Amino acid sequence: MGALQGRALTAAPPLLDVRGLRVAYGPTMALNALDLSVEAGELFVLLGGSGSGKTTLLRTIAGFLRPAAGSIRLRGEPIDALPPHRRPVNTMFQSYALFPHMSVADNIAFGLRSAGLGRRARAARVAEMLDLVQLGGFGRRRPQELSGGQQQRVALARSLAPRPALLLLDEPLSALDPSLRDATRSELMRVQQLLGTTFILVTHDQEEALTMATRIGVMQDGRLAQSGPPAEVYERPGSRFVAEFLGAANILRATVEAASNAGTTLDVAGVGRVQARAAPFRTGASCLLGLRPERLRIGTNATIGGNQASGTLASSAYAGDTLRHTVQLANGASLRVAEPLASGIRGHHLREGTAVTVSWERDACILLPP
Amino acid sequence: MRGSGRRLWALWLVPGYAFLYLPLALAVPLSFNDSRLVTRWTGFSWRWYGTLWQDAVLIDAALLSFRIAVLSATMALALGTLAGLALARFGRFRGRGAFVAGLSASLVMPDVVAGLMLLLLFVTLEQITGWPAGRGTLTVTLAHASLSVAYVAAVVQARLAEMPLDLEEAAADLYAPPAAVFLRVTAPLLAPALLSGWLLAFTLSLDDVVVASFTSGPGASTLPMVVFSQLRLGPTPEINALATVVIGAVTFALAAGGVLRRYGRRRHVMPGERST
Repeated sequence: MGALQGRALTAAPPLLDVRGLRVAYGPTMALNALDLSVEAGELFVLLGGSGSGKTTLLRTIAGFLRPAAGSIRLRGEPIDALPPHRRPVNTMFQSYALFPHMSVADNIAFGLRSAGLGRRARAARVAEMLDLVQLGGFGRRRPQELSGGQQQRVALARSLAPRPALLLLDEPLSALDPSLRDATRSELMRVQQLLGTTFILVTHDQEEALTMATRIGVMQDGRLAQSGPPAEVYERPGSRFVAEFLGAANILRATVEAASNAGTTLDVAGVGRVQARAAPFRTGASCLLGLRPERLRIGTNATIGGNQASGTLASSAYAGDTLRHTVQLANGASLRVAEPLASGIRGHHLREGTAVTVSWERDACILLPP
Repeated sequence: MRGSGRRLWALWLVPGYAFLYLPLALAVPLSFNDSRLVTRWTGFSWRWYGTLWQDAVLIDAALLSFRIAVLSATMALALGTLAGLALARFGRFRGRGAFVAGLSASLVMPDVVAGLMLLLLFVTLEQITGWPAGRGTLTVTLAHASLSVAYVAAVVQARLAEMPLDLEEAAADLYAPPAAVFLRVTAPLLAPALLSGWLLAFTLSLDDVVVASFTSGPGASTLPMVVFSQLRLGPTPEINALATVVIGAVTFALAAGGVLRRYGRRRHVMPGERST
């Protein structure tokens, strides 16, 4: 928040400012009064399920879709009326969309030629871009002679070559093998930091969003449900949708018993009294308690301070890095608990059907509006 | 249906191909026939090729046909490409249904009707505006071009439909204005379709006799018109010699086209297609 207020004082407009954007596909609203603001140098990740409007938003910013209402400003200048070829915004397509009838070098030079760069300047920039994506010497190949990972890097180089103010990336890693994704992810971040270009990246992969983003925007039904730094959105989701979409969460019904600046006391169905952080809920209000499975500890008695719940171990599933337990509470509700396997599966002694106690810290409680 | 069973089935192809190509194949040996009669073999001779070579009427008609075919195919290519683009890329614009109906009318219209209507059109136009002055090369060319547009449009539209839209979007995204998108991305990827559309129009014009008979005038007889009129006087083996020359030219063109396509396919592979 501090950085944002500092900017507001100097009155510099954000790099991208989207206000009240509506895009209709026939009778359905793909984007519904969406607001989004992205600062220069950010790697903003748009996360959402299919049909949430994230790709529609990218295509509208790029100029391929006409909004029914709202405004898009780049560095304070409205760009709504400009056709795609006059917007200083480039897109990296999910399919890469490399021109099959041109060499890799001609693909990368395409935007430079349109922008009116001379031959020598183009050749120099192409060489620079090929080095940047570690494809030096590949300039004369055809795109279809390259592997998927190499094509991805050509697409990145091509969209970055004209030095756009803003680069839009539509699921840039989805076409790659999972084994390549980790390396490519850090490669994208390295390039982004090196050039300082602002990225808006669309994905449905939450791990990708959490590890790459400077800020995440979670999309729901054509709106931005919440945006903020990854840790903030993950630790303090603003709604049940965000809590369950980004990571896993147990959601329990609760009533506020006492609320003060020091903390909140809840009466949670099937659990009892729970101590949480101070939250903007009044005494007597009903709310939801969110608990992330990996923040819970399980044992025959409470192992960490603060809160606990007792129940029966209904099932345990081995997931390699964790054991995933389901604990049945007294009122029939169930809690998912992820137990890290620090010393492997051996020596594990909890049996299904036995009475267990689940415990968690005060700060693990996420209070959500009902 | 493997092994010998499959080979047995292939035997059915023999009568089929024979039906299609035997008449053509017969023309070749008969063109070397010494006899004046087309159907009776008397001995080997080159004489009908000599006659053909010196037949100014036939050669002039062939050159005229070729000129008309090249011109009308090129006009049809320009108009048909635009029509194909409109059909494949402009979405559901107003009047699209009427546009499609108008285009495909020339595909289903009998040549006799089309020829007659074009003749009436040219005559009426001349009476009102003075242009085109009389019937001749110009009117045949215009008639052929108008009838071939639909074929070119169909070929171009089919190719555009299978071409991913994101290539053109990527070009626009990289600052290329619409004309540059077409010239630098769409047209090169469309090249095989443009070529086959042009060749289709060329062929249609070259062997048309009906529409040409209606829309041509004195002194502008195309090759099919001349051949057709000679048949009425009784054909000579000169016709066979002409047929052999045409078969040779077409075979050469097809072979050259095949070689070019094989070379081209290695360079123009659509994303998602595998190169062969």
